[in-house]
Amino acid sequence: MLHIVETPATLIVRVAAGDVRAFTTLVGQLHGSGLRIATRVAGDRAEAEDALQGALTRLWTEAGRFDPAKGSVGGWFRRIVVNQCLDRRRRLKLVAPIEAAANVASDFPDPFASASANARARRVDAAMAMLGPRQRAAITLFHGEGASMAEVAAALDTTPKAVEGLLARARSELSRLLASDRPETRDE
Amino acid sequence: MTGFYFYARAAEIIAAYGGDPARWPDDERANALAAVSINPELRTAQSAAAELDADVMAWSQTPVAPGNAIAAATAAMRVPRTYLRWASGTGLAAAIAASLIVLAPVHRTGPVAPVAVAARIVVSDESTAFTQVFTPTPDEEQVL
Repeated sequence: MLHIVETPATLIVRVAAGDVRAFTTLVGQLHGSGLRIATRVAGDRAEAEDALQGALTRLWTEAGRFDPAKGSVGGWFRRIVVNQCLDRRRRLKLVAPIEAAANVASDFPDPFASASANARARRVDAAMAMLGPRQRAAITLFHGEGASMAEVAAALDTTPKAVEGLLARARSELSRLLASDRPETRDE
Repeated sequence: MTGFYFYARAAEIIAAYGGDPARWPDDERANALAAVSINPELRTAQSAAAELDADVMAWSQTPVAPGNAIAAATAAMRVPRTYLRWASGTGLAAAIAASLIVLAPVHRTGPVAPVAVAARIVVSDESTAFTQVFTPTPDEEQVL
């Protein structure tokens, strides 16, 4: 039996026409990478799931605005996910009263998760949490997703030259944080 | 490309793109590799960058527990597309403008009976009532 694999490019056309089944199939193709990116950029699973849900709603309602001449569906969706993460972060900063800062959960990984990871990964994770969300987004897309500088620039609504600077600063800050971190005492 | 600029640009590329020449810009890779082969400081920078690359790659490839794609798709489709288009910035602005035009000439002088919806809402003050009646989306917030 011949099984036809539908590509995101064909699915998005049907989604724009309101095809529910095409949307479900497309979400199945994009959901995993979207959640991975959102988790890295947001630094928090719950926040990532909310951002991804917002991105999927936009995918459903704005599918007709996708322009294949400007890139792939995956790249377009990645851009929506990153923007949702950054927008949510911006809104949180605006609305949170300063007194609430004392009650905000730390961005650092929770103790149980940290305990199961090795010391180096723990330090990298903590250092990543200290970076700005745009810096994390640039690193996630360029190193994690293998995106080109132009694709990262498109996702962040900026120029490739600006992303170069953003990545250089992020990597420099990361190196500084990792170098300044004390080596862990090992029990073994 | 020669001299200081030659080395400086190679250092910039390593700082931004990392230690793997495969990720460097295609049109600058040959020059950058030549600079690294000549300059020991650049070689040190490249190997330090490669170490950081390994850390970053390990971080970015840590598995993320899968979510429920079907549930997410269903939730995304819960709001009708026409409603969302109407509730977007342009739609809302048009709605507000239309309501102002309709309501502007109306001057009520006598007592006004409370509408049924308002009667069902139990509130402590006006600001609470507003949040219960109308919670703007981010797009709507921008318009307001």
